[in-house]
Amino acid sequence: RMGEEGLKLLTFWSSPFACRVRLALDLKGLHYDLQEEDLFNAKSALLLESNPVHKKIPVLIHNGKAICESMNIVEYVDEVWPDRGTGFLLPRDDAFARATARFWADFVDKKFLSLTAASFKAAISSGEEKERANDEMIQDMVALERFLESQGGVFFSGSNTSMGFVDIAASFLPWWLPTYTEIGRLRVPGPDTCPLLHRWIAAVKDSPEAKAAFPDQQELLDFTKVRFEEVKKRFAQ
Amino acid sequence: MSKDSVKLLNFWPSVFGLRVHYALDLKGVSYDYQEESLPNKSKELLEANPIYTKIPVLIHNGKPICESLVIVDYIDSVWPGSHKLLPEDPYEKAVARFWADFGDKKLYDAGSRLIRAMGEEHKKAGKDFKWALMKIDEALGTIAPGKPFFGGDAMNFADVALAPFICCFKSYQKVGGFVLPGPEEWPNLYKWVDAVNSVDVIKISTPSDDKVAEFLERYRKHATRAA
Repeated sequence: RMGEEGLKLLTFWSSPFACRVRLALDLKGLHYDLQEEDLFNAKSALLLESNPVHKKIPVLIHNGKAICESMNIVEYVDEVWPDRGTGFLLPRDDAFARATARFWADFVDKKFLSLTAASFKAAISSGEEKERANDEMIQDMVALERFLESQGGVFFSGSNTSMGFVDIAASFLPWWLPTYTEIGRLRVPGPDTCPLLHRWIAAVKDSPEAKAAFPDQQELLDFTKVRFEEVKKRFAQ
Repeated sequence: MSKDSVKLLNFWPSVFGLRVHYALDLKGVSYDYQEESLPNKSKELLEANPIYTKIPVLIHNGKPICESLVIVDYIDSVWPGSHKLLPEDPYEKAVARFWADFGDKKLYDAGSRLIRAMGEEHKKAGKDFKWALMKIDEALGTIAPGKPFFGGDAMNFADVALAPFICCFKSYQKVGGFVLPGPEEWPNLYKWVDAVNSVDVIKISTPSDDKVAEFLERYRKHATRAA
């Protein structure tokens, strides 16, 4: 059995990328050290050595080797410990199902974690531009709803009980959607348009592993409010 | 034994499409090719990729797979026997994926800005592009010292993800108004470029530097006029 000795995650409490890696590690029932990085003051020497190219968290350190990029880390963990805890995250035997999972995890990244996303544009813009970008963001969420429907379960994995690769990719959304509505002042589709997505949100928020991996909602809102002003200034035309 | 039906929907200057060509050609998989006209996308493309309506799309036995790196991964899974692209070792696999992703996040991103931007943003894009190539040169020296490819003696997932940019180097220098540092500064990068260009199957689908340069210059004229 592959040892977990020296498993360490370099993290930051309010990073959706880092939190979703924590979720994957916890779903697998792995034991690891958590090193909170002081991103705004001084990144640790370990972080700078482990991720010299991007200098970003999360970084997973295993047997002295560093793995970077959050969903890359999730894949690594899934390969090294395929049968631990909740079991495998990516479909094992079906290449097309695997490709589908990777496609939708990438969709989540492109649409909700990227500076070129409609969701981001909607948050930092105003007037007609904001409304148009917001409409596009809602279409992106409806697309997620349609995919969830096609998977036939509570989770994007297709299961009613276990999360998979796409669930982990999207796992930050239940905590980040309130930041979109309350701070970004965005419209999000309700349970009438996206009933399955709302059911999924409730199921994720109910998961003990997800609750442990993600920050307190109010703390996240307070922190995001402050950061948002700085971000808006930086990206405003 | 039934024959696989494999079809690639693509637009010839796309670096993303070229990744799929390289993966299929390295594995000796036979496939049909359909050139798409981007202002006039085929019904087949729109149905195969309703989310993004973009190329490349691989249609395998009627099922569409989208997003170039997802496609390359899929190809490696379905045709593992000939020329394995992803290493067996999970850590080496993660390293290959990291550099493939670097191609998207840093190399493509800077190249794209170089083509579309003006003024200060254009200058910065040039710097970022050179930085990205410098990082690739360093990575080659660390990951596979003394070997031509990220994959050692043969191209792997990272090589397939990054190699398509080689035919754009001439274009980016022209558009950016700079000359890339040479092999004295970036020995690993240039050895890698020579090694890639020596692989016979790579030549099958790679467009000429000049053809790419002509296309990108026209694209830039159009993009910057519209800005």
